[in-house]
Amino acid sequence: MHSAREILNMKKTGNRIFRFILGSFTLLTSLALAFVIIFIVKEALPTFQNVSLKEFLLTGDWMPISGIGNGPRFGILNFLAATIFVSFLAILIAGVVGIGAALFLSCVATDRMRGVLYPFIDLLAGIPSVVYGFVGLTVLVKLFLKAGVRTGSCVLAAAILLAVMLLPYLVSAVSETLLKNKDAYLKAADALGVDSWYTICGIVLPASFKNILAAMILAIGRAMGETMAVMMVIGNANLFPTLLGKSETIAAVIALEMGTAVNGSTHFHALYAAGLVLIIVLMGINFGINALRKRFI
Amino acid sequence: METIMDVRNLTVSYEGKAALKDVTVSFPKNEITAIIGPSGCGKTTFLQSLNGLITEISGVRCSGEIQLEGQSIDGISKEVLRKRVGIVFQTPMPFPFSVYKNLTYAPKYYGIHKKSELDRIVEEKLRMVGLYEEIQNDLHKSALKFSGGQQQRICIARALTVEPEVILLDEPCSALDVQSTAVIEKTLLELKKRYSLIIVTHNIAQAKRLSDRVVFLKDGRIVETAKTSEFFAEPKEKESQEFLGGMFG
Amino acid sequence: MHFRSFIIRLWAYVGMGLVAGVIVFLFGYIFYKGGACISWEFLTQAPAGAMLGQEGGIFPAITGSLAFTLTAVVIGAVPAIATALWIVFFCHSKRLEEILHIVIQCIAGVPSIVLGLFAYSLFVRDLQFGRCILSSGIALGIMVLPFIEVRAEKAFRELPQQMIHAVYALGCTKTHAMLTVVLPACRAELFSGIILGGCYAMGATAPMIFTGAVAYASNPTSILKPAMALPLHLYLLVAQGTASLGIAYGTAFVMMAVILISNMLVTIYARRRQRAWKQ
Repeated sequence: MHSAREILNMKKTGNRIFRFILGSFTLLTSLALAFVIIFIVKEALPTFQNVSLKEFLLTGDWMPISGIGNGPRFGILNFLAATIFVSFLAILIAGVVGIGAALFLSCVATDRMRGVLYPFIDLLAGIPSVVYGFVGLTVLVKLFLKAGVRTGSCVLAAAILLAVMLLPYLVSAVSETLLKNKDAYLKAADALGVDSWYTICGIVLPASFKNILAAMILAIGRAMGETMAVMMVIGNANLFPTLLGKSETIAAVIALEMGTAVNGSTHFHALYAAGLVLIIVLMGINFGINALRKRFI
Repeated sequence: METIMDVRNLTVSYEGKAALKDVTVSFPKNEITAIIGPSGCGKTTFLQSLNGLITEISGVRCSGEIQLEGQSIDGISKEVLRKRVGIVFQTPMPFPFSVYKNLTYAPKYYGIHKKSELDRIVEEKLRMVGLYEEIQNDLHKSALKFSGGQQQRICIARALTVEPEVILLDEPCSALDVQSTAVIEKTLLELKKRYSLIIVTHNIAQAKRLSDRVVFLKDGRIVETAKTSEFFAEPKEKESQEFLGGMFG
Repeated sequence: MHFRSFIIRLWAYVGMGLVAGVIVFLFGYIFYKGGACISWEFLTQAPAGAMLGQEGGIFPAITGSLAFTLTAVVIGAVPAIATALWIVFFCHSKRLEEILHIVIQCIAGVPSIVLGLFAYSLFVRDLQFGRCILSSGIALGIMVLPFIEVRAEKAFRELPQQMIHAVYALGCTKTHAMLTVVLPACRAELFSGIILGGCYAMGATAPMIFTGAVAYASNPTSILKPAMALPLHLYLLVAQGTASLGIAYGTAFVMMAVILISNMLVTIYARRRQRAWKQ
């Protein structure tokens, strides 16, 4: 049997050990991020021994295998443009539909309905990217094919698919804001005898504008990181993105060509460099939004 | 007057703003001392300083000295201090376990594992708060299924399981109805035979009923301390008079 | 009624209708087309046929996915919950807390394909693990870490602070409070976070393509070997064209079924253990 003092000391030592373990894991988490960034940069940099930064970012010639008379060329302009274009388009579509649904959830649905609808919509978030791509291929692309688009695969199809994938996040974030503002303002407006929807349109929506915008921009980040779904319906051709044309995103290039890139070749490093560009753009958006948020909210 | 805790020049500030200013007061042994004062006067901060919970709050600076039984609490380890100075909060906070588990939580921590001993502790403490007869057959029901008054008494019993010397109570009855309040007040009067109680209350009538001494705190400063009967009959300070007269709450 | 009011109202109903319609369509379509393919043999046999998966079943893909997911969840959930505990209970500096939140946000912001690149360069190549479940598991683990950490932290913060103080007030250490009160009280949220995180890992193709998932392998026996995975299998079937479309639907069916069931379980469990102390 231990004395009271012994027990207390055991507990305190145990406490210190546990705290150390937890702290170590926290450190590990931070190191994970550091390592990811370090390794990507490390593998990306050798690209620029053979390709100038300007050529990499601003040209669209991507030819990993030497062409006739030319050496291999690596320009990701088309991919970068496609990534940004598809994401923007997707956000627009998701925004229009999503804000509508959020309006319903916050201003029409009762608490009980919300209790059912929220988990229901969350299901969309759980569907794997590749399944989205699969359905996109068998349904959307077929539709586009019937409508006359060459192979059916196009940027618009990818944008629509991506929009569906972004819906759950957008709807939940927007409806949360709308709900808060509705609760704050509706009672006062009702007391003035004004029709609720008039208030919603005139006060609640404008008041929520900033948060809605922020949610949309954050969703862009998510959209840009998407690989499989977009890859399966966009056609994967190194072309500058047009609505009904084929194109290719950065993520798709990496996924498709990593298998064949020779370890240590410029092609290999170029893929990492493309990944680095993607991270930089994403982090830029995230930090930008957070900084703006602090200034304005 | 034999004192159990002595506070000298205690000053506590949160992020620059002082919550307690140069507080000096002594708490008698085996008596009930009531701390009264208008809302926001620093009562809760004061209690938290007495049992060391204040160190868990970030951005806090303390200076001054607090002594427990003549020994400075700086010299006592955090855990031992909290064992010797127990606390009961305003909102009943039983753990989400059965009553039995709530009451054996601390004894098990301190190494008591024999069932007979644990049973004895549970019964003893429940009897002290007058709850044993009522719930002796429901000890394994979740503590959250009892009424507010019962939950609060379970919390008091739980605080007793570590055999403290002082029990701090932060407005223990403000969340309860009149009947529960009456039962708890009766319990506290019983408990002072074995423990020293310091109770923060915004209910002046309660302070008058329960306490032996009164400490009147306002804006983080002690305005007056006196024996209860003297304080209510003839408060010395003008501010005390104003407070009792209901000028500010 | 004002014209504007009418439009907004219409917008709300149409928006919700579209969203609901899409959800119903997605699940309905897969279950309808895939249902035909599901049979006991399908679920328990290995793929066969001239072209991969043209006939036969998807059993090794199922077991492979299980292995990937389990590895990912262990690698991701342990640091996630530990970090959440540390931040909520042991971190005393607001600044440090902010920095850690930014770190977690950044990890969440790394595209999953880039995580695959990272795992490839460090684990597959430099540390010579080769393509295996572990390499993919690490990439997937990093992917789900922020997902679980955010949920865990939210659960810990929602506990009434006074309850934790009540534990300290009895003289118990923080560790004791965490192990005996905090973690048990947050069981529901932690489970749902882990299960949903697992679903997320199960469905992710990009991080595993060149780090551990392969087109054909037998059931996983060691995490240092590669294995099949459902999402990759689906992709490869699709890439092969119409010959394997039936099996593709079946594979999608299995994945959707897992998602649906997990979500339902989590929602029901969360409702049953609805914050007891809030009564």
